[in-house]
Amino acid sequence: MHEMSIAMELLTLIESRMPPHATLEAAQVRIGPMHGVVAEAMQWAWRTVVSEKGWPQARLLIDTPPWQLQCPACRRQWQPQTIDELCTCGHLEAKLVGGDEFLLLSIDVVLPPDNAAQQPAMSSTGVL
Amino acid sequence: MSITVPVVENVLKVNDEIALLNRRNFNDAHVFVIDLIGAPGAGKTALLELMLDQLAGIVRVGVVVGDPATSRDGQRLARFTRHVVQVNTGHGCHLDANQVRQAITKLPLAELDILVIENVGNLICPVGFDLGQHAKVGLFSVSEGDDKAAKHPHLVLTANVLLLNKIDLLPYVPFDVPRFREDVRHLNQVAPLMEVSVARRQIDPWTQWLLAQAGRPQSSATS
Repeated sequence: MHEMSIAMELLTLIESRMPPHATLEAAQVRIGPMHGVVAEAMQWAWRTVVSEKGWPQARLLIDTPPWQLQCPACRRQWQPQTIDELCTCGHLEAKLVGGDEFLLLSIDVVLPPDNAAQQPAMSSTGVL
Repeated sequence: MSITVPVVENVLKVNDEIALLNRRNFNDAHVFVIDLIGAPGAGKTALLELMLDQLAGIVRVGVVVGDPATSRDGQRLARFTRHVVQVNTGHGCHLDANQVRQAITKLPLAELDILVIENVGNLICPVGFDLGQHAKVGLFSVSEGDDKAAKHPHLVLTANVLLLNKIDLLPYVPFDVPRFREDVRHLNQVAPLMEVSVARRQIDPWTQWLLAQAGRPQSSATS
């Protein structure tokens, strides 16, 4: 159940980036298939940790990039079905160049009225 | 008012920062540290028991052992070294850097040559958490089936050494060793793949490798 540990780590990072007294609305993450995260389990763990924090409505938006391999011989780069796929040139040692990402991309927060009035010009809702 | 705050940071940043501190402590104490990862029942603790027995008097070895519950593994290993710390993770399916950081406060690192962190039995979750180790060791066994390397690419990709245990069972279980080796080599062309049998006390390649990493002579480990 490493999704729970990951959700807790994620929340720790989010809290360090939250403006004072803000409420979390959503978090966007990118998790590559290498990390073996099961989306349903991750959502369940997320719901648990944000509810305990007092943000039960906070959504988790997961972007799952594909595996990316590159052949060191012919330099071909492709998205394999499985990580052990061989290059079409026959070379056996494809290098992993994508699929191991584990990033918090952004957070959507609601500022309290007094903070909102003082907030400098940051990105408006949904726009980075 | 609702705003979007761009972040773009590694989710495991906090864990990685603590792992870096652990690694600095290990380096300062000149202790070589491995993270031993394998499925439940693969033979992690049995391997350590035999290893500790064979390396007694040659190198000083400490162990941090993680399990969801009980101190049984810690008790088994305490028969061979007094430098054992048992960590119970509860519902946690892996050790993280902070748990290891707490555990090593109970060990005299400067008096050790090698520290083994026996992770919770699991081929998935432990792989993503850096503990500060110098080498990650993946342990498979023939009784698990020959498809496990292919099914757990993250461990195979990131391991520095891979062990295949229980080869004494090859006459009795269906396990295609060449196929297993081929799966491993598709994913990791560098890590040594060693066949061992704890039951027959045949772990020479492993102890020789370990002694070499710890900067010790490589000829007197076996008994």
